[in-house]
Amino acid sequence: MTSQRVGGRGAATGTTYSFKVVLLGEGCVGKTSLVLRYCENKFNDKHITTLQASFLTKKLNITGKRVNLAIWDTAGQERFHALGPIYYRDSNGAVLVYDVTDEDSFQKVKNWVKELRKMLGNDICLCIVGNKIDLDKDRHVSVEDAESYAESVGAKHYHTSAKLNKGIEELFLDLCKRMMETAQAEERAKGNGASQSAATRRGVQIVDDEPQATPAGGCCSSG
Amino acid sequence: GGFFQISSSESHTKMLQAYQSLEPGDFPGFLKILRSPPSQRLQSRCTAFLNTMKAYHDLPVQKQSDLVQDFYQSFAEHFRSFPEAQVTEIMEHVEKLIMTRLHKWVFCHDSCDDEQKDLALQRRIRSLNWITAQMLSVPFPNEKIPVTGDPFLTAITAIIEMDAKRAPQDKLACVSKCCQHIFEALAVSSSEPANADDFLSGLVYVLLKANPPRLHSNMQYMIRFGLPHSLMAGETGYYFTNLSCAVAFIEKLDGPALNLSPEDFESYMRGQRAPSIAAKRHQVARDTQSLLEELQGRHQKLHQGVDDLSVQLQNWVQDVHSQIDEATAQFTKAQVEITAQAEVSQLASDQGQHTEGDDEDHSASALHDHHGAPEDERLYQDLHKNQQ
Repeated sequence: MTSQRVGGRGAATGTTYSFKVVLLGEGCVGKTSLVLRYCENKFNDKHITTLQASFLTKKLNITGKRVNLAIWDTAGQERFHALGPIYYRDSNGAVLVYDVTDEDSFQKVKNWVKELRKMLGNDICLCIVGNKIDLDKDRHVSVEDAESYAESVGAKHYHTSAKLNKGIEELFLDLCKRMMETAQAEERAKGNGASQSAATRRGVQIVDDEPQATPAGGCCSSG
Repeated sequence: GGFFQISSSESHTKMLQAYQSLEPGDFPGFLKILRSPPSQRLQSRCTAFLNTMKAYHDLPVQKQSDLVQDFYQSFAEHFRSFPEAQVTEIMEHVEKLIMTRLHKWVFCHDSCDDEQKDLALQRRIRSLNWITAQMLSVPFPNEKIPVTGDPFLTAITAIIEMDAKRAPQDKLACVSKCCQHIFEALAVSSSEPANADDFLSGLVYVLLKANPPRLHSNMQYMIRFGLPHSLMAGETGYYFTNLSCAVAFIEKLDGPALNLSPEDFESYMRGQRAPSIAAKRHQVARDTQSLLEELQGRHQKLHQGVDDLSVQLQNWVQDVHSQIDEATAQFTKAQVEITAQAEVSQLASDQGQHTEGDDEDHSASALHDHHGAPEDERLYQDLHKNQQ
């Protein structure tokens, strides 16, 4: 529900969207390289001065609308598994990365998808990303399997190579467009004035001309 | 009525202008504007709200939280024409103003079990004091850490400082500072930018080492009375979320999470196996080793000193020898001359010169012995110095 609050400030008035995207993937699938490539256009660069690739941001302009993207890396080790829901809260999108040469990493992605859908329903835009296509000759996850799985769970599938800088811009641009659509749909639903409960106290920090219509705790109603 | 309307909206505009010119982070400036005449309505709202809260300080803390959050919302309404970033700035000042006053009434409130939970968490962390950075897979410098000690020390200090702050945003600033120091500490042992796994492991390590006072109460206080946006979004939101994750991890932590068997974990918890003692022994062993290495260094230096000394001695002996040789040569020469002179004077028929020449020989070698003694003394002093 916070997607509306954080993300939904005045889409109609042409102001800024702010989206939270969680990044999931096992340690060695290259998710760090992927986001560093996207946010800093760097790969295994000796000149990387960034201390961290845990929280990165990117500003975009999509069809005249400003978008602030915040990419939250999540701890993917098994021992941190139970913490997922704390990270996922209020996210608008998720990028789930696996290594095309590593079947296990694809299985992990399937587990995360289940968890995300259970917790956030259809409010969250899912991207399943097969990384390291530069190593295609060692591929262990077939394109058909991956794409049909993605379709079956309502996610989009992408192929990327952080090394060759392939497919990454497209992935994030596409994701942003989908998140904007979701936010606009929610706003329209709000505009219909279906439920004008008193603005919830958690967070209508963002002040909007439009009446706030976020029912307390009812995050799954407006899919 | 009409006239009043106009003048009221005029003063409203004037008030907004004053807030618009406010520099970011200028809290005293904010207070000045709030106390100025055009802002009188806002100021009396603040005062009235603070009085209400004071009067109702026995209400359950959740209810107080609702009142404060509702107040934030309605206050922000006045600035709905402002850009989002500017509203956030103003609301941070409002939070600071309100919560600095309310802190003593609502922090760790009697109506909830915060205090018990603080104690439980504190005990839990204390019971886990045997956990090492290695067990948590925290990237940690392998080599002997220099005098500066634990690279996470600044992060540990920052999170302990949180309890001393009153406004939720100031506490949150301590969390952010702690997290940034963690990234710096991680960068010491790795050239790769830290990912979420490294970062969260580091944060868990810092919390276990710091055992921050009233950690649960501080977090609840931020959730109840802080600005929601700063806790959920942006960089500060990311840090606060990780703090929540780290606490949840610590509360549920078991053997497998540390790559230990459940039995090993249990025995560590019962204190039967104390890696802290093992670690201390290890430390002692390492200290001893470094002392030995130092000693070896000194020993080598000493050896070199001795070598130098023996070279000097040899040189000196050679010197002495050559001086003696020279003296002997001169003596022989002198003898030859004397003999020659004697022969000449023999012609003049007088003797006795010969014995005087023998005396001269003795005094020359005595002089050499004398010269040698202080030199010897100095060399032995050098040797002694090297031994120290």
